[in-house]
Amino acid sequence: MNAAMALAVGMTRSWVAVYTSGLPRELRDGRRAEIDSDLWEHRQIAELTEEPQGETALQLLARLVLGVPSDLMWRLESGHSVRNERSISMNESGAMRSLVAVGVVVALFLVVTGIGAVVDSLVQGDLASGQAGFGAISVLAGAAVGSGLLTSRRNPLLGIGLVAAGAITVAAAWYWMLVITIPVGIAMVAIAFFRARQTGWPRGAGTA
Amino acid sequence: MRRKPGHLLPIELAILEVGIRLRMDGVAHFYGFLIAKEIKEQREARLLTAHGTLYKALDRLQKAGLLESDWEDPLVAAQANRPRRRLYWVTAAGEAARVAVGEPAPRPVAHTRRGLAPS
Repeated sequence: MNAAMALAVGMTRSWVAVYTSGLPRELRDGRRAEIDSDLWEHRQIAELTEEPQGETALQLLARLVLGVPSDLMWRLESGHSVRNERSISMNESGAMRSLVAVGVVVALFLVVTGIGAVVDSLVQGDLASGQAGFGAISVLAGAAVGSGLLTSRRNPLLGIGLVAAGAITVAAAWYWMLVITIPVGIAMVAIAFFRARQTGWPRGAGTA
Repeated sequence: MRRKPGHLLPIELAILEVGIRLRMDGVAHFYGFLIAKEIKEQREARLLTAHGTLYKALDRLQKAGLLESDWEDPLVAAQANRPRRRLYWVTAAGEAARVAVGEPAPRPVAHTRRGLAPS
């Protein structure tokens, strides 16, 4: 497995680990195992058909990126059904939902620009440059912020922690834009915090 | 996302069609990557269906009772030296749903599946 393939597989696995975090074990492990199997089959058939590894890596990245909206929708729906099963009846305000949606859009922007940077360096055949690493960091930071915002209601500590980690990473990576990244990062953490507070946290509710 | 009961998205319809066709070809169960590969060939597309799109559609079809699934026997996967597959099959309700959409029945197609048939 060359570097491009390892990066594509690693990014896919990381993204699956992020958006399945906080789900019940059966649901989480099932999705992770299913994607693992898919990645294995994909690489196997590529090897059998003697497809160049760089092309397979690009296909894997495309499958990852194009599926992100569906992954997020699936995560939201799964989160809703889990909450319903656990009889958490407190409704989320419309304003909070809008704020979370804005935060997820910002996170998606990071993911998409990061993947763009990685794909660009793959196309240029210049993985050794800092661009691929910078892109991968942006993807992971965006994924952490997005999934943290989404899980902050069900698992406040994990959610807020993920958002904070993502925000700090972005601030460090884009250090020349601190004027923007610090306030935006603080806003993201605040959204996760107040979203968690709506469940009654930290008095015990929502700490599943 | 609320949809009218019985309404199938194109990807869901494609999964049912391919699942039924595979069964007619003698492949009783299918798994995620196989269905993505079959849909790609059927549509003559350049890319395989995205992970998120594919597995969300499989999940929805299962919740609607149009598909059923079970994890492969770990021994079978271990003997083939690969990760376990989640095996799906189309239910009677799934076949009825495809007929209700008014699509023609898929015809058996000769395929060469190198190393992909469920073992």
